[in-house]
Amino acid sequence: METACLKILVVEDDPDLASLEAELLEEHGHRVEVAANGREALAAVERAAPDLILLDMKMPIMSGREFVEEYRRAQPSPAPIVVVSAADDAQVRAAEVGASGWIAKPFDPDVLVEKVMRLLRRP
Amino acid sequence: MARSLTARVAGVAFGVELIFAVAIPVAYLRLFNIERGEDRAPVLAIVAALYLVRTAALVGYLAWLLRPIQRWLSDSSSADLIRRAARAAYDTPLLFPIVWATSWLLFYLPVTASLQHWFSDQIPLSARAGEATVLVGLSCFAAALPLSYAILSWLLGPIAGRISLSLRERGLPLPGRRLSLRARLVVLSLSLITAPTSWMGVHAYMSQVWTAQRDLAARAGLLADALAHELARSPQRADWEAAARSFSTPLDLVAVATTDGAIVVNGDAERELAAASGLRSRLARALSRAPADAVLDPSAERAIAYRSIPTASPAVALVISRQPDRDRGGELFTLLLFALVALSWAPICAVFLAGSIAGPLGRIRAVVTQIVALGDVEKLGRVPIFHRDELGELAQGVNEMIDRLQASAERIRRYGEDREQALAVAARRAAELDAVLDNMVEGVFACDRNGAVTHMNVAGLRLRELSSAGAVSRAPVGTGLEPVPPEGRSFSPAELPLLRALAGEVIVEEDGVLENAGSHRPVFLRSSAAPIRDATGAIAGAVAVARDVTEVADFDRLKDEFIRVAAHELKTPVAILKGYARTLMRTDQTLPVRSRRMLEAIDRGAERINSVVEDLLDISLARLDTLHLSPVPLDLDELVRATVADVGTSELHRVVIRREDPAPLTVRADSARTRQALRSLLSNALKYSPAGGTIEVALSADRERAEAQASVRDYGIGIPAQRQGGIFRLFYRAHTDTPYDYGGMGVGLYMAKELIKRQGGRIWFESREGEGSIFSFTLPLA
Repeated sequence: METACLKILVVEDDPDLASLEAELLEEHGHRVEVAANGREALAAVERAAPDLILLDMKMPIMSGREFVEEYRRAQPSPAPIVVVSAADDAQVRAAEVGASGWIAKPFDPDVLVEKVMRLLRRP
Repeated sequence: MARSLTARVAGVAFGVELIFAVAIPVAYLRLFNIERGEDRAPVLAIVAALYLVRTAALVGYLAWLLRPIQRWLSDSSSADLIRRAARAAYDTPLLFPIVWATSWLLFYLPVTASLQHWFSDQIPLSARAGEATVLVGLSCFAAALPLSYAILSWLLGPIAGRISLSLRERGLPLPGRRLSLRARLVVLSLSLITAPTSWMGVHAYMSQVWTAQRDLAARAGLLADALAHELARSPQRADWEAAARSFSTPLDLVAVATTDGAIVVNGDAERELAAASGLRSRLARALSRAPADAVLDPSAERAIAYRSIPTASPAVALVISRQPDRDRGGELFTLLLFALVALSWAPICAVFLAGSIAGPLGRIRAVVTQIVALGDVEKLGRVPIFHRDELGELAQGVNEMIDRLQASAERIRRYGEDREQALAVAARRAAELDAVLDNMVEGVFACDRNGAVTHMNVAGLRLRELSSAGAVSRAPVGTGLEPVPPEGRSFSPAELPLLRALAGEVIVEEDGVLENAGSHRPVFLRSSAAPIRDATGAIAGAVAVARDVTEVADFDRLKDEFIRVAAHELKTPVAILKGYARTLMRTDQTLPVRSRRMLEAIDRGAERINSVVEDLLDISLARLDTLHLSPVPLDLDELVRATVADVGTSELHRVVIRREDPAPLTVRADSARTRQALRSLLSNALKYSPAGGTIEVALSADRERAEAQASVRDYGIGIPAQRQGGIFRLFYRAHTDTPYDYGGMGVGLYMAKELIKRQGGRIWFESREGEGSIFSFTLPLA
């Protein structure tokens, strides 16, 4: 893969799903950091700016939407965000928060990887 | 009482008669000029004797006639006795007067005969006695008949009436002779004419005779006195001739005769006497009896007066006179006597007669007055029947009328009782119904044919208060309960269940939403309604039943929400399952075959969970009305082909697409959702078709209606008619518990319907068991 070693932040409250996503991406040579909610994610982006964020919308403590708002406010050049949602209207929600892409749960591992690759290739 | 009846009847009858029984003989003797006391005595004795005999016989007869009544009076138990008493009471006033009057008719025949026997030399009975006796008898008959009838009717009528009531009680018919009132009145009026006319006639006839004779006798007497005086002064026979001549007038023959009746002077007188032989013998008898007297001529043309001449005895002065002179005093007395008899007879008759007629009429009037006064019909008595004539029939008619009245009053009373009972039953049932209705959870509304609400139970009032939070009145429908359909628009008045039922529609379990003015919380109603028809089948009103299903609806919503959340929550674990299984299968090439099969099974299971989750999410979206559709112009043909390719993976079936016309079919629809609907139809067609079966998909366009139609036809098992009703219902599965139960949740057709409906299309099907089904839907053309 030509897009080697990017830094991806996975924001997902379910640890199993988070580790699945992490494992899939790490398998393709990316560095993955996991945050369990919006607040942890904010702390994570503070520590090191990611190249891409995979974001669950429905999370405890701070939701995906709140995170996006905070993140955009704090960061002048935010990283692209991919919304991973179980909602039937995942696409609509993604558009609402101005995300670059969306993935519906449950997802095919290949689809996830492909979508991430495509996004990271674009800029 | 029993003993006194005959006595009373006889007493009154013969007591009244006594007046006439005394007066008539006096008049009779005067008629025959029997004026001297010694002459009268034997005649009156005969009359009295005859009267006593006759009266005794009549009383006996009367007593015999009245005997059954007397028996009845003392013992009224036997029916036969009552019948005989009734017959006696009705017949006696008819029979007895005839016998009585006949006794009067015949009474003076023996008297006249005895008069003729004793006084034949004194009075000229031979000439006039027959006529006079017949006339007297006739007038007595004519007078006695109505008098006795009136008295007996008056006395026996009330008794007959009592007996008639007794007969009526026993249900026996009226016996006795019937004589019409007309016949009674005709006989009465004939009597009324006959009695006075014959009475006055005999008087006039006889008085004319006697007056003329008396006058003649008086004049002759005067002349005879004068002649006798003259002859006494001149004893020479030669002078007698001259004297006789000087006293003679054209009407008076003056003569001198010997005491044995031989004429001495005046041959004219001799000739006159020779012409009337009876007169000569009567004169001879008179001469032998008295020295001076008068002799009357039976022909009433002459009278002879004679006076003895004391100086020349045995000669007598004899005058035969012809010119009458009148005895006005005697005539007047006679007239008065006759008039008195006639005058007293009529009123007495009238009084009794009036009584005998007015009595029964009065009874009838009294009863009729009672009827007219609208008194208690039950207490009405019966009219006694006094006589068997028209009045009696009138009374009988009145009695029958009373019978009818009482029968109908009884009927009315019974009808009233029945009606009251029926009303009480109806009221009780109404109360029961009210109690039932008021204890129902459902609101019940009834209206008349004009739509005005006539009944609303307690639950109905509560619903209505919820709806309007205003005063409850019997206002017409349309101002009261106005539910809106679930879609949210408001009903037009014509759509209200009650008014639709009034138009003849039967509505079963229709849902509506009621805007709740009080709490702004909508009330969900499930209404049924039906018209009320009268006996002729015309719509007389309508009834609607509405149930507050808000709780059910809330629960439903909660359930949908639960399904949505649960499905949503299931997606993450499904994603983990699928993700790891696939990742493992793909990345680890060294996996043993067994492990790989297990991972595949995990993946398939997760996929099945996912499809159930997808279905549940779809359902919840449809139910919660949160389906997001993005209609765009689509080529239906292309969409169908893509879907068929997607579904028709089975090698066992063939799917054929037919187009009626090749023009492009562009519809306005949501691509994914339309494919989902079509997929349901196709997968059903595949599922229920035998292996090797053909599925036909026909596409057509109706440009006029601006819609495209797609039909999916299979030749499979079809749907039994009795299972077709709920085919589009959620979780409905037509083939449950049949050999064709291939599993599934019963969601596909429901979603297909919801999706097509929400895109402005229609969906329907035709199916026949064993022959297959056609499912069709339309979508608006773009």
